[in-house]
Amino acid sequence: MKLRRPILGLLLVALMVAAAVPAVVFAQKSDIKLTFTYWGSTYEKAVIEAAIKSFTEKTGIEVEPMIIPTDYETKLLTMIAANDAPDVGYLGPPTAYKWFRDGHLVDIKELFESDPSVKEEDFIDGAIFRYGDSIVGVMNNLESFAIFYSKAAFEEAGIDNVPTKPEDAWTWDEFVEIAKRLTIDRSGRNALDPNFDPKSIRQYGVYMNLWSGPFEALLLRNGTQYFPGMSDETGIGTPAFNEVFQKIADLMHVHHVMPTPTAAQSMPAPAVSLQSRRYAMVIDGQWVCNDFAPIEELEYGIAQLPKMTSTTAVYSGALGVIFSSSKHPEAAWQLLQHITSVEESTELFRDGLWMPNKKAYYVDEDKIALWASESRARVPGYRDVLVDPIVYDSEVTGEVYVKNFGDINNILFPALDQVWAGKKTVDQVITEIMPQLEPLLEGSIR
Amino acid sequence: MRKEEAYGYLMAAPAILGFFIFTLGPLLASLWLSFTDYSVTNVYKFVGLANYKRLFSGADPFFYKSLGVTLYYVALSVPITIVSSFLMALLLKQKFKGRGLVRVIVTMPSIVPAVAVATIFLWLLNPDIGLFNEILRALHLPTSQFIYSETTVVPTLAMMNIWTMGSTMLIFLAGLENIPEQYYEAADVDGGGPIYKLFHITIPMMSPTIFFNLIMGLINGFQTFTQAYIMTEGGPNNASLFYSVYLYREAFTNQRMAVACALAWVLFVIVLLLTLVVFRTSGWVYYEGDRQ
Repeated sequence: MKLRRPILGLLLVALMVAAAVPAVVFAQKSDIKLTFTYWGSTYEKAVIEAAIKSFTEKTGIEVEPMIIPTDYETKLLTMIAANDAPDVGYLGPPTAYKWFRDGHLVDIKELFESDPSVKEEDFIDGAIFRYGDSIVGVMNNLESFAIFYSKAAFEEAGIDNVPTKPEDAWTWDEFVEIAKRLTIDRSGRNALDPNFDPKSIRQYGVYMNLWSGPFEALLLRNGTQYFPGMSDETGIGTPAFNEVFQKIADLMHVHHVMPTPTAAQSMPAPAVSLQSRRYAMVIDGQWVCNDFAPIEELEYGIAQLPKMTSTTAVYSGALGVIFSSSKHPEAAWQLLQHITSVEESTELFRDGLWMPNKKAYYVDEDKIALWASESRARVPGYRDVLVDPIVYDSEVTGEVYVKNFGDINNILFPALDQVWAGKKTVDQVITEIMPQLEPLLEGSIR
Repeated sequence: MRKEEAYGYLMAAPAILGFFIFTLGPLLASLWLSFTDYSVTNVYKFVGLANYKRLFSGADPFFYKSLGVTLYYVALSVPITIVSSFLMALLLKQKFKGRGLVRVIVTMPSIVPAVAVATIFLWLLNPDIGLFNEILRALHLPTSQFIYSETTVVPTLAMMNIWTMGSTMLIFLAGLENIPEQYYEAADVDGGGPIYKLFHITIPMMSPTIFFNLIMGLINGFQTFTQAYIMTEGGPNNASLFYSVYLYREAFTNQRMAVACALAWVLFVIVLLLTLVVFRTSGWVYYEGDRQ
């Protein structure tokens, strides 16, 4: 025992020194150090880290990037609880709204005023999340929805003239007809054939992940929304609203052109399912271009979503926010500008993941060319389907302005499981849950 | 002697401090927070019993639903696990060649991380390409939607729980090894068969172990989280919205930490009451040396 004590003491001292050394080194390097939290794939991580590196080289500001791929808000919540919030990061709109009200986020309005290099008018209007006179955050990037299809499947079914411009969009009935031609059973018959066997489908005409995003896209095209026109009058339960959900249910149970969520469980990811012809069309967000582009065997095309009463496009995006606990909000603001600029994080835009948040990149040819010129990630028609509508006819997602958006979906979507299972109609389900929904339908934030 | 005593406390200090700081502290804090409107990010205020009222009045549509789902799961999984692991322990107590190896194989699944088990079962239970339905089809038996149907999801998860019976079975096995051989020998002399021995020696002698496993099973059953969180996210139509999943969702997704604290305390009281009831009705448990 006597011998060991000095050794133990030495070890402890050595440990302390080792722990202190890095701290000293960092302190000498830079005065400002930011913590930046974000989510994303490993691909995104590489691009974001490169952008951060160039930011540090340019400004001398140290940034510690922290990727949180899952349970992002849970992790952030615990960081806030431990008084260890990041300086700057991504955030989903409903949570951003709450945390802004609770005083955890900086009013970005002031940063706009202090920074002459950017103006509010530069941005796509809905990308700026306003609350009263304040600004909660600015969307880092935009996302919108489209139909992606397997060219091979379309060729085989003899379908050409795929609409890319909004005015040429298929009506819903035309879309169902196309989907039926593309749904093929194991004997090779399509869904229009009277002998078609819906129990053994080899290739489904269409697939859509059943969450609020693509439904918002379709709701808008049927002239409604959770709260149409950002009003306080809800669309939920109205015929136009219910109709959209019922139409999707009918794709599964009446037309047999779309897998039920259970059947979809056994399918590979959309990119592989398109390539292996399990699906002929996929309704999804444009970020999937980033997954589609690297699969060389997949020749895919892009089409307008079907039109019901309108062709207005919906867009959404994660917000960039700055935390009140940050000692360097201006530096954090600069970092956000840098990471989300098309010139700096070119790959994120060009390789398919993001769409820009500033207007100029949708109207100025040189700027459009930076991110949307033709490539594996930006196939022919991309511009008609996804670029132009954003500036000419689009609306921001309800996530940004609908009060209790998350709580409403927590009730709506589990209840809709009964519809996807083919047990009830949308009208029945919505009538049943309306008493639970009513206290949550508090209108729009603005 | 005194010094030794001091060292004793010193050595135990980390565990004692750990309990007070990291267990008892948060426990009491959560009790206090359940009477506030704490959401982690807000400046919270005292709201009295509002959170509890919200739960019991049914204003939150998921409280009774999740309670019902959890009770149903406990009622299914606890007996299934106890009976199956007891039978397995009886089997593994027999002397046969390779017994050690079989014991290891049966115990192993319980050390596989729950997330890995859940992920593998997602494949096995897949209605279209999963192994279970393939087997049923090959035997010309009706197939099941398993975790994808409201009616079968909870029974499926309860059955899946058998997979991790290893630890319960080990406790039973230890208990079985402790039964004195003389009892069986005496039964042999009196001409008692194996069934007689099972019901008149093994089960009565094992009753304290069964009792222990019953209590632990109840407590664990009420806290079931992982399978539902990973495999079903509470669906379909909230049919597997276990209490703990709902609690987690309230705390972190819906950011109503105070409601989650109230939920935790309600669960605590429920489990406490149930355990008391089980203790009160434990006349069937036989303790050697006790007066019956």
